[in-house]
Amino acid sequence: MPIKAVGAVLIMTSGILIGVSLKSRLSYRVDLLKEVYDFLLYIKRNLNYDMPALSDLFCQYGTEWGCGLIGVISDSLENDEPFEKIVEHSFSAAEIMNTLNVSEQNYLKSVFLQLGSSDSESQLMLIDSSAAQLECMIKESTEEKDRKSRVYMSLSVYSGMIIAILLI
Amino acid sequence: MDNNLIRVLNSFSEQFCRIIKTKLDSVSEIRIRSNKPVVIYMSCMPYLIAEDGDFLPADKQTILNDDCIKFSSREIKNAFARICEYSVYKYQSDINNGFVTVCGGHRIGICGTAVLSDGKVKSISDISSVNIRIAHEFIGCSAELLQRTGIDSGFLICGVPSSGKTTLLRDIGRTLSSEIPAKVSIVDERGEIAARFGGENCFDTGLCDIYSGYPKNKAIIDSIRTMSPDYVICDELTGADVESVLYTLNYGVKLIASLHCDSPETAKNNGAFRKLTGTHAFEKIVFLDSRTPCRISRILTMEELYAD
Repeated sequence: MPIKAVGAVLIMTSGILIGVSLKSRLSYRVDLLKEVYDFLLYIKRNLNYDMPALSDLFCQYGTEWGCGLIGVISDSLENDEPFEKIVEHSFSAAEIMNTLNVSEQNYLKSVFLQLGSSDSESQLMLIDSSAAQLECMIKESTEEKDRKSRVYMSLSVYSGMIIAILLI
Repeated sequence: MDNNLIRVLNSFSEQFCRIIKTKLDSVSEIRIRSNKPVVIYMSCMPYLIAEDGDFLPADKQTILNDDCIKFSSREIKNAFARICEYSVYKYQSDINNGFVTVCGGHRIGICGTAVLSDGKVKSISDISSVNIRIAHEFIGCSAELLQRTGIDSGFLICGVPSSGKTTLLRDIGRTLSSEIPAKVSIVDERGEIAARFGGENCFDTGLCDIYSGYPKNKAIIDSIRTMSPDYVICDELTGADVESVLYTLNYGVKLIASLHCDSPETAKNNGAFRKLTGTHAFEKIVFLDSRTPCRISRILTMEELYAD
């Protein structure tokens, strides 16, 4: 009997942990999108006054605030590789690949690759339109996070309880 | 070895960079045209680069050689994006003027299709030719020139492209500011004299005050108003700069400048030259040898020039 009780508790705990991990992945997705959004605003602020190179902006932001995608890109910039390769490698980081869906990844890649390819006026226009698009994506992913995280948590707790009851 | 230049060459290909590196000290220009053999200039002579790394003197037969290194327009486009640090906006005004100066003072001239807006070049698309002009620093190369011209008045250095005008101006600035020492302002519109990047000068310009990226007229007037220089050094004057040249004259500042012009004979027919020398801001005119960088061909006073 005590062994069964311990087993039931373990199953319930693992169920809850699975729920928490699924929930945190959804939160991380929102954080990644927010980070890119903030980074775009950071570029915009700097472009209005100064004209630093894109790599400097990545590094400055990455050092101060970037711990997700921007952090990964800014770390990779030290390797003096073509920017396309750096962006591609950064998205292939397991954490980012598992968190963002394919369309989000493709959209962010295209934003990054277009960033330094035009004059400052076009650059600011690109940032504005990308930021507006990202706002929508953040809103959608936040709603999805709120909705799904409740479902994940309830499902994992209840399924853990059912398995535990069946075991006992 | 100049890492900035290596980075530029690496933007095209590693093999290309490896080959050029072996002759870097003697290379003055590298011309890259889409789908055409790369031409490099060593001691003013053009050479092609064979795939195996040999340098072949360029003539009508070797130019047809298929085994020479070439780059496609796509490769040139990608390399150029890399040279611009993937930040075209940062270099846009230079690009519109047909060049980009990279860290190290190397000027990369570009040629392609102009994108016009209101009659002005807004951008350049389909870049088809790139000319990498390698900047060199020769400390002390202006010693003979300064000895012969003296430093009591302004002078104009005339020479063809790649005759060493900028190199001489840089060394004159360094000598005057740190050896005399005088107050010297350098007007570095194209970023080639001091090659200022990230607040640091890539070249030794002594104790000069550097106006980097300013339009020439504004920089000359600003420097006289705010930095009280004894000398203003300025590269590549044109006829449009006459007003600021007169300004230096009125304030007793000595102007040392350069102008594209090959000989006293052509100078006299050159409108910009006539306008600039008409200001009497320059007491002497220095003509450089077209074949050997920084070598003086003739130094003439204004009277001697027009008496010829």
